[in-house]
Amino acid sequence: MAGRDLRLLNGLAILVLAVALAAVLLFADLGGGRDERAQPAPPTTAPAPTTSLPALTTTSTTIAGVVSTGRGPSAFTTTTAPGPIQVIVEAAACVRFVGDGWRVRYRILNRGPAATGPVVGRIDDGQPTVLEETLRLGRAETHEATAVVVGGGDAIIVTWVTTPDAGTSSFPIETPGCPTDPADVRDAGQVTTTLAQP
Amino acid sequence: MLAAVAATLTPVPGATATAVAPADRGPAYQPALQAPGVVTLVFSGDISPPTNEFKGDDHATAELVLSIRPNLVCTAGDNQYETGTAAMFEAASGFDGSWGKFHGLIKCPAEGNHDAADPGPGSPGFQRYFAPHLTNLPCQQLSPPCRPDLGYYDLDVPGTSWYILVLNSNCQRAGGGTGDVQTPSCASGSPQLEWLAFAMGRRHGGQTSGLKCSIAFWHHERWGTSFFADDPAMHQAWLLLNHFHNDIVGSGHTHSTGRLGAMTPQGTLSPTGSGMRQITAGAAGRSLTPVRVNPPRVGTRYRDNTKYGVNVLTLRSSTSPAGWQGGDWTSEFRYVDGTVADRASAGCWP
Repeated sequence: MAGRDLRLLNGLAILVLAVALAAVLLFADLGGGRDERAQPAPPTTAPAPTTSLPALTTTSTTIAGVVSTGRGPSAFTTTTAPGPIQVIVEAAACVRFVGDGWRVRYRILNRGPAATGPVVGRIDDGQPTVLEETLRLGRAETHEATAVVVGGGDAIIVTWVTTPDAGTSSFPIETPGCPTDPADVRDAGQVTTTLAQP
Repeated sequence: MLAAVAATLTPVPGATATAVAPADRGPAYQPALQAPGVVTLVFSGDISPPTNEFKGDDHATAELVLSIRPNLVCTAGDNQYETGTAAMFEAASGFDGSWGKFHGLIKCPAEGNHDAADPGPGSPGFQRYFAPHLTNLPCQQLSPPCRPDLGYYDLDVPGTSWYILVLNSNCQRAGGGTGDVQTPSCASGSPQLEWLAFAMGRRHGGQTSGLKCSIAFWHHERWGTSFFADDPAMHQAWLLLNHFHNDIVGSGHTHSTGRLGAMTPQGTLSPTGSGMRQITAGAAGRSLTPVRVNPPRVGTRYRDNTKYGVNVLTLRSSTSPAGWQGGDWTSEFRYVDGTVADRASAGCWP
């Protein structure tokens, strides 16, 4: 009788211990999870994902040689990028005033199979301007043209949107500064109604 | 008017807020509730497009700033494109129509190359527009004096241990149709740098005294993060600020956002984790520029050129047992699409 009671007690003790151990493990897990959620991430050490402007194209081309980039620090060393197609912006000049855009001279080289597609230009994140509706270049052919890219901003990119590939873009070059339209200055002055004169 | 503006800089005791005017005119404005010694500062550069371009993105960032309800707004230059004349600044289709809604909060504007492109020496349009904040500064009474009329000055953030320095990074240069050779030199020994050494030296103190929390704003990124390359013209300023353990340099110029980790004066990541952080906020409305700096430069913690937005700094103050006044900061980018990115924080560099 005493031996049976002892076995029952032992069994009960084991059961209690198992329940207690399970509870400890369960609460330890919950506690750890809660603490982790409450912890702010160490922000100064974890690099965030790098994002960039949605590309018009799948590949890009850097300019061959140094091109005058207009204003500001411009210490980029550029070389021809790998790939069969090269799009190079050779020069850009103000059409007239700020916002009118730039007259861009560009050159496109095709060392791959024949390709066809429109040529577009873009200033910063502005709307693309269609420079040529359709350009077809056979293998080893080169095309040069001058066209106006409309808009205002800091960077000019020309893209040959070939098919079936998305296309090839030039390396972005800095826009030369343009004079302000005197009419714009005059118009701006006419709508001044709010600022107290210093 | 100035008293009302000053009230916006004062942390609100007991988490109450006082209505003030964010602009020198306009509706009452309540900064967000803050604990004592805490200030919310918003900054960005590259803001208002030319008045003959009607993009509207600067209006979107202006609404974003108002929704943040900051105590203080600084700018990182290129406030008004393309050549920041007074007429353009003051036009409803210019800066005044967008960020002018909180003109009274913009106590620390910096000059950019497009501000300096206003015909005439310096930046007359910029100076005229921000004249209420750039005259009768305490630092003008010291020797050597600050020169807000030339784009360099400082101010203490009331109720906190933080102070702000604004420098002119145009550095006597002009490129294309922008810039102005009649801007202050950034060379060692120049009046601007001599003043900067004095301004930092008089506050920073030693191991048992001084104010340890500071931010410097200027336009051209010292370390190019996206569209532009590094700018050696500001090397001497960086060296000097590094010597005095400045905490953050806020810049623009590239029309994108980004943050670098603690940097050495040579442009590498500090192996000890101590160093100045460059935070770039140049996506306030003019445009977004493509990435040219590839791969990302060393030290890059974050960069984005897809969204318009601003940087928000939360500045906190504390007293060290050693006797000096310190604090910490939190930085995050907030965008007009409602997203928040790159939350980062650190203590002030003692």
